[in-house]
Amino acid sequence: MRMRFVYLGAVWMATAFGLTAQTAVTEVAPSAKSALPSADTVMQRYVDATGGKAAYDAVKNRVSTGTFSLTGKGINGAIKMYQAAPAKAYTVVDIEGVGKQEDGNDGKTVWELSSMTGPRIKTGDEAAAELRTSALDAHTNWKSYYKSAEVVGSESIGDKSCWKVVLTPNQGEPETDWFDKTTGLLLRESATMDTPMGKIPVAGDYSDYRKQGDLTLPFKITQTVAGQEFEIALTKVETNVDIPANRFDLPAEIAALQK
Amino acid sequence: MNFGSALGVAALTAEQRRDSLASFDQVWTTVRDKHWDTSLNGVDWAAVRDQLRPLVEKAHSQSEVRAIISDMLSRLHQSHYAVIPGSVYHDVASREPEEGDLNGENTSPDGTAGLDVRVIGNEAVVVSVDPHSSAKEQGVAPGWIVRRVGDEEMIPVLRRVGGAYKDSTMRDMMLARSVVSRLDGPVSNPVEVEFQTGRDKMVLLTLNRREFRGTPAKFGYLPEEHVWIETRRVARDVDYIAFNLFLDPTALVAKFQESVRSCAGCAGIVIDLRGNPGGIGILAMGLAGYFIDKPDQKLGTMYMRDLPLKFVVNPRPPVFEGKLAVLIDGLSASTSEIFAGGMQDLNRARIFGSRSAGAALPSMIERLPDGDGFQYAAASYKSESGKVLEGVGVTPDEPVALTRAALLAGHDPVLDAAIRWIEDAGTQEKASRETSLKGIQTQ
Repeated sequence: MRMRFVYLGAVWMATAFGLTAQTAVTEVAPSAKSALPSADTVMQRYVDATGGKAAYDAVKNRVSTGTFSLTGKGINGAIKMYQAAPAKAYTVVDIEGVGKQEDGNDGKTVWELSSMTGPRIKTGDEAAAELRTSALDAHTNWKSYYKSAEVVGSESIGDKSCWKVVLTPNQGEPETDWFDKTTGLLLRESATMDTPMGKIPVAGDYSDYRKQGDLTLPFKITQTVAGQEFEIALTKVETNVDIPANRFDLPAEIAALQK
Repeated sequence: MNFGSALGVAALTAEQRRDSLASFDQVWTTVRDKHWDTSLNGVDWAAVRDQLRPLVEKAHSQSEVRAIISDMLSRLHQSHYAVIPGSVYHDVASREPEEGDLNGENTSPDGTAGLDVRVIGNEAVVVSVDPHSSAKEQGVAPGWIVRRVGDEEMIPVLRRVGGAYKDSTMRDMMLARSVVSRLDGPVSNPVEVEFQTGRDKMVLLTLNRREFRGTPAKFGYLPEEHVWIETRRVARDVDYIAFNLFLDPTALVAKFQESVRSCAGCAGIVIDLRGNPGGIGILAMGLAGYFIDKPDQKLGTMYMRDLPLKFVVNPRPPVFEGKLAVLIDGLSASTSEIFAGGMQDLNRARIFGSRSAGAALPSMIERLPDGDGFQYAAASYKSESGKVLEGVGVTPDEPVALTRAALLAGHDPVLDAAIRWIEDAGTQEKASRETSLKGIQTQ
């Protein structure tokens, strides 16, 4: 599973920003590149380590529930994420003192609706990234979304040695993933989000992998958006549940923008 | 600077001393790592630490430590860098300590005497009186002068504060705060105030305090604030919206939207940001969306260390198309300035009043190991036309000064000017339409 970046522009912009991005260390020397595995191998290892292609293919929708907090800012809330095949998504974060921040897509129109900043339809690379990361088959079928992928080195994240993989999407700037060499699990992603506010660096650390049905999923996601860190701790992940038919419909405020 | 006596036995415990040093280090490191300007405004930051950290090691009280850290921050010569005492961090706004505060006897919440004040010339003049306050019951009116609060004469206070901020755009704000902070206090403690009335008689009144106007709102570690929004019709075709803070977005935006939408066909709307010190920065974009119909319009750009961020307005249809007037004064700061300055640059609003506070930097508050709060700015900001707002403020298109005489006569000259502009524009547009119509009919 490729996790979605829960881009909460209105939330992190509500505060100011930290600036120290987390960085991995120990790049493999160029001469050692011949010893690197192929991206195919690393990506397949991840799929196998987290349940296998058949288990992924069996997932038609997913509903994730958890908590949200901005690290060190005293800003907390509840988060609920809906995803449905092939690539529909809806996320709502309800934050104390702020209100609801929603984003999603109906498979075509990608949008954001904030109690603070209002409605917005995402376009271009930003929309493409959102659709890509909403896809439930983003890892098993990654070649549909990325025109190339390359293992560029070996880096440590904490005490875990990882393969560093650069993926170039069909649309947008390259993204980088770090996969644990021992377990095959995805530990970190980084990318640049192209928003109307500017190009914003984002990173996500994944941990607390737990077995959920036939899949193994990360229950803790620490995201860093332009240096501001927030944590999502999932308490429940359900798959193939009844989701209201209109769950992914465009909100009225978004529909009004299309007129 | 004297941080207190170096004599005597240390009053801080080993644990407090450790927390004090950790707090000093956290503040120093945060500024070093997160200040948007890597040159730190030209200050030799390492030298500042070398000079001041030993003083923390020798400090005898937390207030002494706080003064040292405040001194360190003052070297940056920028607003939005402050240490907030832990004792008042969550519960109270800044005010003078009163009887019962220091020994813990005051358990009642803080409240207000119901007066808003601006310093006009050298006088602390009442500009509004809460209709539900004991001040109103006793006849206090706009235009009265606050001469004394408790035992403290206002003239020396204003002279002191005015002198300290004589070259600062924040002077008006600090002067008004120095009076209001003395009027506010525990609800259980009435406050004795000597006024000079409209007829220039001196009267001594005892004012009961009441809970602050509005609804309590929390945002992260910011102290709890009461947020209110007031909307009313001020002329036949003109609505007025005022609110005291850009906080509590759910309630504020809902009421704001309701007001704007209910006035969709109005000639104009007046947004009064006088006295509004700001709040959540991006709410400026959110509220601007009710008045701007074109996408990709920007109020300005925030500059962080590695990243410029454009304050892009998301249109919120149906967008209000009438005239928009924004009122500001020396107490309009931060988000108020981002909104007013941006809307001015986009030619979407005409600004009335007096220059804003020039305290526009976005800031955040973190908890320090010793329990104090640390407020720091994390970015710089320029309005859309490239104007740096910090230390400069927003200059009104139509400067209008408050006068005591106008207040005593029951007028608000700033609001009056805004209404006049909207109505004149409406008259001109109507005349223009009629001229065009006549032209069509005679063809």
